[in-house]
Parts: sequence; C-alpha cells; structure tokens
Amino acid sequence: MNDSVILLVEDNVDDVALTLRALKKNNLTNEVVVASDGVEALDYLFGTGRHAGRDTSVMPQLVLLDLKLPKVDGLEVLQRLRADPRTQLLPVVILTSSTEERDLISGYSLGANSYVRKPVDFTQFVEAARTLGMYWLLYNEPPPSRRSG
Amino acid sequence: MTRLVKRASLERELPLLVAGLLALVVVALAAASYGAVSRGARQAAIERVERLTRDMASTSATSFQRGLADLRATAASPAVRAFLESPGARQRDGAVAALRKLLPVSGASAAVELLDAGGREVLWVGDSAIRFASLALTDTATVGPLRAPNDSLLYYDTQAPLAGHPAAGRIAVRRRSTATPQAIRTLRLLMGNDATMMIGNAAGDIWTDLARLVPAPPTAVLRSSRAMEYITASGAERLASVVPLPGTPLMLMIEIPSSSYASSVRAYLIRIGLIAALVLALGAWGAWAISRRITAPLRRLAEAAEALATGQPAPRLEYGRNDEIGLLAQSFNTMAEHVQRARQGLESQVAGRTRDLELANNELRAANAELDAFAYSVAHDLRAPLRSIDGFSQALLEDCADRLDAGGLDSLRRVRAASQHLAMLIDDMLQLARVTRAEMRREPVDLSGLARTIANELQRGAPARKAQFLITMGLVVEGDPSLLRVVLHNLLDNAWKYTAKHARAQIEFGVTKRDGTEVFFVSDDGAGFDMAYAGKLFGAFQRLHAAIEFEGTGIGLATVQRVVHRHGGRIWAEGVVEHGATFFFTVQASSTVQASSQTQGVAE
Repeated sequence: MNDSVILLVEDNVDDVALTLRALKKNNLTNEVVVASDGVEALDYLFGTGRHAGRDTSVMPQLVLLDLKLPKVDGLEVLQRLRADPRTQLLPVVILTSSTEERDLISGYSLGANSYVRKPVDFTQFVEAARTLGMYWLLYNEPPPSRRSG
Repeated sequence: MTRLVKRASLERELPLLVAGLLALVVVALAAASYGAVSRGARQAAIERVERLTRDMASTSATSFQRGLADLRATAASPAVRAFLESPGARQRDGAVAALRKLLPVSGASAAVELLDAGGREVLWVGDSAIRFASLALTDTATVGPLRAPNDSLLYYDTQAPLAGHPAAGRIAVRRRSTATPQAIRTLRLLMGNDATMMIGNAAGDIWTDLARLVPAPPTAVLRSSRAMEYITASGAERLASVVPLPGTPLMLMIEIPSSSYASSVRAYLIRIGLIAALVLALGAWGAWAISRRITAPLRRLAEAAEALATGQPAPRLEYGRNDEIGLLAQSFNTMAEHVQRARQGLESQVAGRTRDLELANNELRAANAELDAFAYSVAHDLRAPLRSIDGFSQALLEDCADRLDAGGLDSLRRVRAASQHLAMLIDDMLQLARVTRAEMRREPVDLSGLARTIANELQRGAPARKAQFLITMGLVVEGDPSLLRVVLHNLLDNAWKYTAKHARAQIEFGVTKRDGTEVFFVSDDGAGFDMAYAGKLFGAFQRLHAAIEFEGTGIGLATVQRVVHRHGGRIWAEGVVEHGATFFFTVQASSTVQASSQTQGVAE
C-alpha cells in the first residue's frame, strides 16, 4: 500500500501543507506527488513536459483534485483524464472549497468518483482525510492496472 | 366588412317599411273602389237587362196586337162569311185567299184553320206539320199559350170568332214559336251578343229561347218585378229580367251571364293591381335611394371606425355634406386624428420604455453575472485563507502547546472559533444568494418527508438530547424541492437550537387554519422571543440572541423568508420568551395540502 502514490493537484501551498499534515496525522504514509496546477498534473500523468520520461505505466492510486487551478482548471483536467484510456479508470476525488451546485454537477458528469468539500475546521479536515484515505487506499479495490499498455 | 352586410340593415329596413305602408294604402283604396265599381257595374247591367226586356216586350206586344187585328179583320171578311153560308167551289177559293193572307210573308211555318160553330175544321191552309187539333179558347180574339207536342215542335195559337156571330165559328192561326237562325242573329245584334231572349208561358211550364225548348226560369224570377240573379241547373249564374206580354198568357225574359259584368270589374281590378304594383315599386325604390344616402356614409363610417379600432390608419371621410351626416363625418375625422396621434405617442413611448427595459435588463444580466462570479469566487477563495488560519492555529495548538501559556492557548482557540464562525457566515450568505438566484422548479414536494429526514439528521447529531418531533404526515405542496428543503432545514434547525437549553423539548411541524387558509407551522417550546422584536426576525444579520447564547449568523430566517416569498407565500412568527416560538408560513394559495395521519418521533 505504501508504494502507491497519491497525486495531489492543489495550487494553494497552505492547503498542500494542511492536506499533507492531515494525511500524516492519520498515518497515511503514501508518497504524495503535488502538482500545483492543471498543466503539471497532466504532465505528470501522461509523462510530458516537466515529467517527460516518467513511466506512465505506473499511475497514482488516487488523485485528489482541486477545481480552481491556474492554467488548466480541475474540471478540464478531469475531462482530459477521462478521455484518455490510460487514465480513464483512475479514481479521482474532487477536493475543493465550494459546494456550488454547478461544480457538483459538472464534477460528477465528467466522471469524478467522489466530491469532498474541504472543511474550514481543521479537526473536521483531518477526519475527512482519514475517511478518504481509509476508503480509497485501503478498502477500495482499484481498477486493473494497464502496465502492459 | 362582410360582417356589416350580414347585420340588420337600415338600407333594407327603410324601403321595406315604406313599401309596407304603401301596400296598406293601395290595398285599402283598391278594396274601397272595387266595392263601388262592382256595385256600379251590377247596377248598369240590371238597368240594361230591364231596358232590353221592356223594349223587346213592347215590340212583341205590338206585333201580337197587329196579328190579332189582322185576324179580326179576316174573321169579318165577306169572303169567309160567303163561303160559310154557301160552300161552293168559287166561295171556297175566295175564303182560302182571305185566309192565306194571314200566313206570314216571310214564309215561316204557320197554318190557318177555319172552324164552324161546332168546332169542326172547315178549311185548312199552311204548314201541314203543325196540323193538330186547335185549342178552344175564348169568345174574343186571343193569343193562346205555347204548346210543345214534342221537344222539336213548339207552337202557339191565336184565334178570333167570326165577326158578330160567336156561334158562327172561328179562325185559328197557329205559328211555330221558333225563329229562324237569321232572326236570332238579328235579335242578337239588337240586344248584344251576351243577351239571350226567352219566351214562355206565365204558368211556367213551357219556355223557349226561340230556337228550342228550354227549362223554365225559377218561379222567383218569374214573379219578380225587377231583374235578379239566379243560378241555372248547369250552375251558371245569370242576371234575368221578366215581364208579362199584355193580352197574352206569355212572358218575355232577357238574361245575361253575370260574368259579363263581373269581367269588367275583374279587368278594373287588374288595372288597379298594376298601378298599385307600379306605385309600390316606385315607392320602394325611392325609399331605398333615400336610405342609401343615409346608410352608405354610415357604412363607410363604420368601416373607418373598425379600421381605427384594429389599429390601422382610418381613412378620412369626405362627404361634402352640411347635414347631420356631414357633421358626424367631421367629428369622426377629428376623433380619428386624436386617436392616431395618441396611438403614435403611445407607441413611441412603449418603444422608449422597451428600450429602457432592455438596457436595464442587460445591466441586470451583467450585474447578475458579476454577482454569480462573485459568489463563485467567494465560495472558493474566501474559505481557503480561513482553512489556513484554522488549520495552522490547530497545528500550533498541537505542535507548540508546551510553549504557550493558558492565555496563548485561549487566544488560539478564539482564532479558530472566529474563523469557523466566519466560514459559517460565508456559507449562509452564499445560500441566501443562491435561493435568490436559483431557477424555480415546480413539482409536488412532500414537506412531511423532508421534515422527517431533517429531524432524523438533527437527532443523529445530538443523540443525547431529549427532544421529541411531532410531524404531521402527508403534507404535500407544489414547489421547488431544494428551496423548500432550505426552509424546513432552517426552521427545524432553529427550533432544535433554541430548545437546546431545556431539559426536554417538543418540536412540531404541521398544518393549521388561519383566516380560512391552510398554514404550515414549525413550533417549539424553547427560548422563544419577545414579540416586540418580531419585525426584526427576518432581516439579514438581525439576531435577537447574543452569539454567546445561541450560535448563528442571522441569515437563516432571511433566507427562509426569501424562499417563501419566491413561492408566493407569507411567513410570520409568534413567540413568548422562554415559552417557545412558532413560525407560520404559506406557499402559493393554489398549492394542495393533504394531511393524513400524525406520527411522532421521540429522541431519548
């Protein structure tokens, strides 16, 4: 389990720090790759740009995706993920500030597996991180990997 | 325009009225004059028939008298006496010659007979076809009645005694009473073609029209001294006049068919009818012409008014008349101008308003879009720093608790509480903005089910509380489910919150009647409020309780009110301090309310 990677797509460094802290407090010691905007997230996943040459046969076990991102926003990242056979089945949890109805609808319609609102109360945030980690990293059976492809 | 034609029309009614009146007058006149004319015609016919009868009777009587005079002269002639005294051959020739003078010169059928005192025939000359026994008449010269031994043989006798010696014998003359066709034609020329003369016995047994035997006229006619109508056996109507021929047992009658004077009356009637028809036609035409002069301009006026009414430009009416119609047209023109001007003014005004409205709409759209963007960005961006404040405060509390004194720890906790309160405030404001902007849906919403779900959530959140929910089931209304959920959530959450300080609580959702309308309510027996401040309950950021007492943002009830108003309803509250509060609300008057059973949930 520990060798599986979490891709955290988040531009706010505070949120990155808090998320990492929340994960750590729950003893979720997976490697967390942070992409600070949509382009970097896509580069990482598809082995392009800064991440050219990355072995794309290894995919993160979970993507935590913020919606409001510089350059390419979260919904577009999600769309591109779902359009590519390599990332089509990747578990994506939208982790964002708002519960605006249109965001919820777009997120789920584009194929998000889950939608979690970041609570302001850090205690609740830790609790949310714990639940998320437990579910997606421990209990959830990941889709078959496409190492051969 | 076609409608105008189908309506009741003056143009038709006036000529009809005039024609009707004329017809009345003409018929009355015709009836009156017809009576007079027919009476006059009958009178003239009566006079004619009577005059003819008198004339013909006098002519006949004269002829009879002359015949009798001739007969008397012959009876006194010496040749006849000489033969009776000594009937030799020579005397016989003399008597025959005398007798032969009595035969008519025309050669019409007749016979003369000399009879002796015993009534025996002594001499006979003339038509042998009428050689019958003669009647014994009187001792004076007399005309006898008509006799008819058969239908074709008609004759009469005249006789006279031989002069001075009644017992010596007599001479009888017998004549056929039929006339020759020539004579009848002459008679007709004299009397007129329609008149027929008849002669018959006053006794009424035998009558002839001088050609053949005819039925006798009715007794009433024979006895009447004046001309009168009668109906023949064959049903024909006749006007007849009868007079006795003096010195004979005979009567003379002249008759004409009643139709001969009725036909002149009929002809008069036809003439009158033709004149009446002409008068009627002229009258109707005149009335039509007059009414057209009135209705044609009226029709154009009606068309123009209709055009004006349907918003088309009305044509100007130019009649060139100074009468009432001309005045009407002028007034109409003035009115049409006013209407047109007013309409144009109105149109440009409407166009202006529409432009203004469009501008305002565009501005509103832009403002809405901005507000949308603003709310979206608030939702995302305003919360992020709060998360940092709260998160890192917590990190401090956890990581550096040993280096902070009690005051420092308290400050950090206050920082966290404030940031969480601000987060709640942001959420509530976003919700208020959302219920204002959101598109409304309309569908049946089960309020009872919603209330049940919310109550369960609240009870799960604080299972230790002894609070009881009483929810009337089956309350369904037309509305927006997510907005109505906001209403119930806020009201029930408030009730839950403001009963928190009581050991036991009862929160109720149901329906009641106020002023005849169904009103929903959420009531509790909690902290309540002072009615003096009831007006401030629904204003945004207005709170009746200190934040330390009950947490809250002061936005919830403003949001509830917004949603209720968007549903066309009302909301108000009643409360008593420490004895609870009740919030009443309605959603649109047409919404259906169905209440069924009541269930209650108890949280212990």
